[in-house]
Amino acid sequence: MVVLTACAILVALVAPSVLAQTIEILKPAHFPYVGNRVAVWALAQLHILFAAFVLGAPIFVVISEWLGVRSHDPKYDRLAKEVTKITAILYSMTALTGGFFLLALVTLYPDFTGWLFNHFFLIMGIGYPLLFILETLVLYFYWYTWDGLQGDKKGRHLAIGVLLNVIGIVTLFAIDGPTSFMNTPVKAPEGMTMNLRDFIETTATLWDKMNNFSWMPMNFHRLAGNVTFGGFITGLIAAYMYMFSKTDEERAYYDWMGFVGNFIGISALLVLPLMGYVYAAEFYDYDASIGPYMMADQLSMFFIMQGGMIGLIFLASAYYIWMSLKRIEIPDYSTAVSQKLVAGVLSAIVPGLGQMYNGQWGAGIAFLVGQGALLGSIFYVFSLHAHEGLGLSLLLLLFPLAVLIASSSNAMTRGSSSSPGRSLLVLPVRLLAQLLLALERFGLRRRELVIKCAFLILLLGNATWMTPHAFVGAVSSLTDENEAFLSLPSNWDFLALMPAKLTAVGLMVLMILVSFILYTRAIKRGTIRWGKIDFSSQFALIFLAFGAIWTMGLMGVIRSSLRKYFHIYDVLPDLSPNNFTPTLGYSAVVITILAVIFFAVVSLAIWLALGAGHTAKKGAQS
Amino acid sequence: MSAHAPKSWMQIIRWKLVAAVVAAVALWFVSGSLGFPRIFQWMYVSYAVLGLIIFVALDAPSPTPLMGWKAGLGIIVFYLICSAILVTAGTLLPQFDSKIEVAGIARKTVKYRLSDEQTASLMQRTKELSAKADELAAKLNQLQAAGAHLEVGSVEASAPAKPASAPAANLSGMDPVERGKLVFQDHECYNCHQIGGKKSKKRGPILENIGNLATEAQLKDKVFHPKAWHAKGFEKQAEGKDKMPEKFAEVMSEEELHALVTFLLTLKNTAADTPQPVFPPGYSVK
Repeated sequence: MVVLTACAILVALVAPSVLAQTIEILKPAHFPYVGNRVAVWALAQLHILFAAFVLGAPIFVVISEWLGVRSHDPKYDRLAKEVTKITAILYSMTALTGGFFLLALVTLYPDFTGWLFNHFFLIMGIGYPLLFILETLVLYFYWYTWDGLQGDKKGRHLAIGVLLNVIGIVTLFAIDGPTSFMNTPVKAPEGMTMNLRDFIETTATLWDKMNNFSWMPMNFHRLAGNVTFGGFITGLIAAYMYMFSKTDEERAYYDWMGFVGNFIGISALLVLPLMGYVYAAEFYDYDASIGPYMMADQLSMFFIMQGGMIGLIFLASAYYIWMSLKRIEIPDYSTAVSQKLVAGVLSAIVPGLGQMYNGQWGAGIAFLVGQGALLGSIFYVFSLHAHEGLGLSLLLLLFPLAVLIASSSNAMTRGSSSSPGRSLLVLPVRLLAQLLLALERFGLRRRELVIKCAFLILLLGNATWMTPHAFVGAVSSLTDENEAFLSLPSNWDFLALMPAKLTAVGLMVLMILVSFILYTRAIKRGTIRWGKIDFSSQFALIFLAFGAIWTMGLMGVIRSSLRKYFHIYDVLPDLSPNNFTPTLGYSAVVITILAVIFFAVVSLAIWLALGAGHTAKKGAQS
Repeated sequence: MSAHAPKSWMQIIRWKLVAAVVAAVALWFVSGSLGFPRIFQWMYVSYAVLGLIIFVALDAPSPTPLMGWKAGLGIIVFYLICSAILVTAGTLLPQFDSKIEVAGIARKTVKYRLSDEQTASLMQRTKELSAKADELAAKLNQLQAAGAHLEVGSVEASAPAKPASAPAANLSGMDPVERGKLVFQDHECYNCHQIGGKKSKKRGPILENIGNLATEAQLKDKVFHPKAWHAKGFEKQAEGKDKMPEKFAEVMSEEELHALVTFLLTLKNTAADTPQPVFPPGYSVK
């Protein structure tokens, strides 16, 4: 493992500096069978997947180790150590795929690689390899000093972990510079009439090129994405080990580990849509033609697929929470959680609503006014028409209404209202509550309503997200003849616009938040039976990891395809035969194959680090 | 939640199935009556089916845990199922025709491509210039050494335009208006500007009557210098986030520009709501 890493690092260190001077005279080679593009795509994707884990995992490893110190719970330290062990193995794969990726770039795309290396030599030729070596040294130092730096010396070990993360984040930010530059190369400042390429080649400094439009959004998007990814891979490790556990203690531990992995993964996932939005907004800002190309033209079906994947990830996560709730023994769950907690959550989200629930009429009106103002602002900012506003209003009101019904079904049926105005206000809620209670008699349990409402809204949110302007691969396929058969009706166009998408994703994030808060509160109030989780939940954990990897692969295709027929957008054209966008079907096949290869390697690493080790340990003990 | 007796599959499914069928039928007819095309109706019905699957899964009885090799097999089968579903979904969604894009790229990259003879000649010329530059740099260094405060800028290596690996488009002899339509398509002008009577909302002004409102020189100026003038009612877009990209002077050739403007000048539908051009005081074509 160490030898492999050392070899790969040697290649990574020596190759850029030597080759950067000579590669421009190389003729591009041809990669057999799959072609140059797929070869570079595969190696880049695998490198990014391994790198995402080895950069993301140490962040929560250190947090977990610190939690272990704070809580004196040895489980946290064990989790941190096991994940680090797997990280160390996968680190060599990161280095290896990185080395091959570099080799492929140099031999298959020498002109472009030479150009990029010349412009980012300090970063790609010196900084990145040095950071990589430094990170390797610190990672192995962190791993090999784990047992030695215990007790009073634990603080020192934590400090090494923090240093590891600092280097990891700097490495990520460094390589994001050239990567983001390929999409949004720095433009000449306002007033300077200069050709883009001339400006880059003669005037722009290295910092100008690094600090391009999409660099910082990409940094934060990838950082949160890596933590999400690390969390879900931890969930995957836990699921594997749970399935192969032979004792109740092991099952209890890996059940807990799955909970932690899902918690970390989902917590980071919740901020990703916002970061993705900011990232996409930078593209719009850089070049207004990128937006429609991305969302309504050639890449629109890719985004439909992405919306579907994120919806499935949210649903799988909510399903895992649901399964986790099932093994919590909690007395009078409906009273404890459905009423007080949900009212509390709502109070935090929309203050007026909680007040209205508690009978404060004025605060209720304040909420309604606030809601109106919010909608008014949305209409103003996005210049929406009345019918669009109606659709958005319904969508926005759906969430509080659904949870309000679920949370207040008890109170409403007790008939506690006193003022006629309030009675009028709560009448529809009461009627719906009665309906739900009637449904309860047919087997729908009240205590399950809150999360089931969340599932319903997750579905509605995802359906809204998935609604495109038209079901066509590209606008060029939309002719006058087929428009009526493939496009949204013109007065429902707003469903395909950004406000509707943002509302939908906002609702989905809120639903996961509510479910998670309910879950954690239930854990505090009840008794959790670790190791007794429903077996099917382990497949939810596996799917979360698989879904996250697949979505990362898809987003990679989208980001690269945004450059259209350029290596560097609008600067350096790609004149090779494969300079067109791969179709979604073709991309899906390649992404799936790469995800399966990645899973096979990760599964092997888990078995080597934890499975095989356990067997040997048990053999020695017996 | 374990206080309740386990339900049979029939008990779990029956009311959910009824609800899903009602929801599917309602979605089908409501969306149909609102004018949604069939493909959208199917999508919404598929969400009713997905909802049924999810709500059944929520209440489904616990499966028997898989142990040992069966667990390994279960994981592999699960990956295969996930892979098959995702590949199928990706394949079933509408695909664009790569040939259209390839043809467009071939047309757009003509300006970057050179014939073998041109490349050989360019390489020879580059070598000569490079030798001359070295000579000049040496002389400048001598001058610097002699006390002159001069800086020699580093000569950045830039990727030479390569001979075409893919066949370049043959555009000679094409009707300029037809060629202009292709340029409008190739450079995705349609994403922001409406022509041809399509109903969808666009970011930029409708161009169907632009041939009556602007001259050839003004249109050429607008494409290559978007800030030169703007359309009435699009003051915010002229400066704000949705402004017209300023890249066309770099990514579009003169030949493309000429064809595009020739085509735009044929758009003379007086019934269309094309906004009037607003020229800044003292405007003259650059």
